[in-house]
Amino acid sequence: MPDPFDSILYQYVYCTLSSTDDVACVGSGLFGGGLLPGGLEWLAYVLTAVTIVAVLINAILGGVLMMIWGERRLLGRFQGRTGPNRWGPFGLLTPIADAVKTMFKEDVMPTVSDRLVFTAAPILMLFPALLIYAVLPFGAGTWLADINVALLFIIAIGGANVLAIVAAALGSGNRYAMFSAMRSVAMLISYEIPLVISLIGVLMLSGSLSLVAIVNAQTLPFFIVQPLGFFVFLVASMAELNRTPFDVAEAESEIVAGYMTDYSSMKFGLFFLSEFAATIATSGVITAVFLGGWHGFDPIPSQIWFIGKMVAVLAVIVWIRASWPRLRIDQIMNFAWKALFELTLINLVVSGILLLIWPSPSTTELWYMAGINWVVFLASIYIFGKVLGPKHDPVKAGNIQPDVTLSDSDAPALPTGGGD
Amino acid sequence: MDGTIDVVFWIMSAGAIGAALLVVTVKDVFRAALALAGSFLAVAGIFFLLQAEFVAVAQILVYVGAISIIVAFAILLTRDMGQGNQTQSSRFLVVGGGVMAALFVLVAGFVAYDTAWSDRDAALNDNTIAVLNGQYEEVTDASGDIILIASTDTDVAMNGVFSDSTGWLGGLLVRDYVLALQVLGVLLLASIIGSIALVREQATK
Repeated sequence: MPDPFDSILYQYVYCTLSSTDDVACVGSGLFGGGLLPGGLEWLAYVLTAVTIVAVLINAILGGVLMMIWGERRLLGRFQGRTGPNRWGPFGLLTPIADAVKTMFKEDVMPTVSDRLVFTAAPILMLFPALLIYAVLPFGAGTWLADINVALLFIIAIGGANVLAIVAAALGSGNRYAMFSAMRSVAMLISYEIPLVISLIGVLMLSGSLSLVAIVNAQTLPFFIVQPLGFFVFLVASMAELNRTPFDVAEAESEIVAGYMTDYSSMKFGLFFLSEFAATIATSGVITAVFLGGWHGFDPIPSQIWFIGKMVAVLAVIVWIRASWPRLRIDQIMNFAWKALFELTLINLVVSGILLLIWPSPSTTELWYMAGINWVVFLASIYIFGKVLGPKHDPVKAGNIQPDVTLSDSDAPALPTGGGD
Repeated sequence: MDGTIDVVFWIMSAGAIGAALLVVTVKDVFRAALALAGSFLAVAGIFFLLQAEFVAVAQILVYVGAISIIVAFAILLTRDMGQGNQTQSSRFLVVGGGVMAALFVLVAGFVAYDTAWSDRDAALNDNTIAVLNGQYEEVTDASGDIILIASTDTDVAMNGVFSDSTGWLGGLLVRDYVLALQVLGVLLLASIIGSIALVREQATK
């Protein structure tokens, strides 16, 4: 198991607290601490953990508030309006007002519900979102845990929020919530498969499941070497996050707010919080796995690089939300099984063949791989677009009857070319 | 840090056993499913404590992420929501449960008695690790039996199985036991196709 003192987060707090002759701090050059007398190293250990977790959770909460503000401002820009700009400079304090309003709202508990499950659901939802941060490397030497199965851990924990959605639906006993839960379980299980397989190309290149090792392996950022894997991972993780082109689970025009319909006050706030926390965590995973993590050029510290790349990914996610309308559930399932799944298999086979040719690639050989992978990427996207394009929509072709028959004048027009 | 590890172990064990007791005592079936997921998580925590990270994460992925969700989904699809929580109880459950518990204790006791337990020191023995890693030589001893001893390159051997159990398991799966893995894949595929064939809607036209 890796030594926790690899991480400067631990070193700094622990060595400031414990007595100066502690063996673990000798190499770190962080003497002059010793706030606690000798013999209390265990207390320093516990206090270090508590301090770092408190700092991290507060940073996540702050990040979520910043993201709510950023998303609303960006959406405003995309839609040709100003966005929130009243309270504080550029409206920066608006999310704080939102948070206070949410906390002081009346907490309504519907009568037809299982109170315990109803209350547990938002907590279950937040729990996996926060656990992902435990393995994210925020900078050179800045992480909580460098476990050697970090990527698998993220996938495993990320899949657990389905349980929270089902718990919310069963706890509130609301039919809209049930529809929402069924939709989201079907969607999440389908998108889990391309999500996992798209990462295998990266794993073969880096030879490790540890995020720190993956970042260190990226002499060339993997989104250049693995464009198909990057594309599929981005799309599939947006589906896992219930973000807008895929947000059928909370489609307000159809099923009110889905599984959140009966929730109010801070219970609703926790759902909201965990959704944004998971989005930020996913952008961190994308940064670490595909965008070279904390690597950058020198005068700027590595932590700033990491956060900058995360913000860029978040901006792209908001951009996608602003650009695409919500897809129908059958379009979403078709996209997962007929397009993304096959694309990941193509990526897997091509990456495997390339790694047979160049078993341990140098940076130059990574560039050759990138060239071939980009050709495969563009060609396969073009072919899949032709094969699965709007002309082949099974509903329009009459092969599938939609649940509700709408005439063309009732249905909102879908943009041609996109969507399917 | 042995004391800390003991404390964490007892917390995890108490959590696993407590949640497992809840599964069988709670009347509401969905609460039982949630308790089951909690019990699986606590067991995953014990695996983490034993430095078997891959097994721990596989436990979360398969049991919490898949089995619990299938259980929850089955409840979601079958329970009549208008009726509220439905409970079941029968006095035959006590008899059946008692018999099952007695059988389980019998089997677990036999396994515990029959297993050659080794302590941590023995497991960290150079020879054990070397043999687990394949870093061994076969030597014929005085009585003519073949015994395994550690190869001379013990540096490689010592850095093996306990620092990277994931890579080790992966190597075993795709090298030594690749045939078993493929057969399992075919079996799973056949069972999936079979279940689809069973539940497929018949064409009514």
